[in-house]
Amino acid sequence: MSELNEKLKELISAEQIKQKPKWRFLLKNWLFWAFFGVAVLFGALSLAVVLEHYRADDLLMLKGLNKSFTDYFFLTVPYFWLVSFAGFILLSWYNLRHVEGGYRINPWLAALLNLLVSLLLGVALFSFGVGELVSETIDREPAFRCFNQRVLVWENPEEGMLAGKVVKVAKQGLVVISFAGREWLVDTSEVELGFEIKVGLEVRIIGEQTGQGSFEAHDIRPWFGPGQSGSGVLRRVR
Amino acid sequence: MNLKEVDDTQLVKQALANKEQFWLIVERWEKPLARYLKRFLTCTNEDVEDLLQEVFIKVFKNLNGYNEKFSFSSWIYKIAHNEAISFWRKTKTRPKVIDVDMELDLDIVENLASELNLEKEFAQKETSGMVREALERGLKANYKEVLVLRYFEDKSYEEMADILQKPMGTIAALVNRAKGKLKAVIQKKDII
Repeated sequence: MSELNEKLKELISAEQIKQKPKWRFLLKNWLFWAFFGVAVLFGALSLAVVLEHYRADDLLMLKGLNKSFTDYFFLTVPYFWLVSFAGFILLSWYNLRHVEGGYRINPWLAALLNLLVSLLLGVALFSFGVGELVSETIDREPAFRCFNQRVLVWENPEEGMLAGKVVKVAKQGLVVISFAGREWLVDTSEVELGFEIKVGLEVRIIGEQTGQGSFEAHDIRPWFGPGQSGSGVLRRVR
Repeated sequence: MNLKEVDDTQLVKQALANKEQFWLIVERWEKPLARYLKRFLTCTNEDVEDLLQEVFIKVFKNLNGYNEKFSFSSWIYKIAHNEAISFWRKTKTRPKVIDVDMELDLDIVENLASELNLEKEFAQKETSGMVREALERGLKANYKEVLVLRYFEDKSYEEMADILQKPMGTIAALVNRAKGKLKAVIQKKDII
């Protein structure tokens, strides 16, 4: 036996060096695969919420404000969710690189595959309404509303945008508590409503601030979803 | 048992079943890894012995982590490479000592020198000496490691990918850049 072998034998015995069990290596590999899967899933969820955001039709509704395309495009881009989507793509790529043999995959190909899988899964989740579910769940939690850019965009009565919950319904108007907690008397006399507004319904309103706490509506739609046909179409009585 | 007739995978299985058989792995891989460490690192024989000890302790501890899908040679070289890099980082400010045993690699150095196409600028004998010195003193670890694995250890790009945990395309690009850098270092030295 060589001198090295003798030294190793003494050292392993003296320091009671143990071999790591197989399950530790298997677990490590499975964990990386699991984190990869979770990252892809959360990336897809983020994308589903982005798609839901656009399905909600804010872009079309905001045309009523007569802003330039660039203005309302940048107003409505869901930055938080796009950054979240990009972040999860990177995380899934990192985990894929650390599974056994993962380093062999070309990093650009790995990133592209991750992106494609997240895109396809995201579209599938959106089609099954998961984007809407996540968006609504986050919207209903006041603590998470700060992550919802739509809420921030719509809390802008000076610019003609208002959103909140209906607390009272009258013939010519509504009382709405905005998401920021302010009370508004909304004049709906100029709007032909195509859907029933009930107390408790959350709505988004395009119009004009007419005073402290008062707002004239030109278009009203439900907060969730694009709204039913004929909803909130402006019909000026002038 | 004739050690030469037993492949690495079989040796690993035997070593896992009976710890006493681990010494066969050490016996087979001691000299190749010692040679690799000497080629990669500019250090004394004592340093190489200490490193080898660390390498085989890690091999022993992690033997259950070896996957038969991959070559055992690449797996054990990866462990040796990682220890070498740690050593490099700890000792990069130390004055470097060129080991005289490196003279045995003269044909490999000449082969590498001929690939650099420096014949018009320097005589062949000069080039070999300059290549050796540039390798020892003039290159960063990431360039030296690929040149040593490719030209001195005769590893394929696939094996190098497994040892360095990088895609094959990256390895190929690194080898080309390393040769370019080596050539630039040699030419610059001559100007100085």
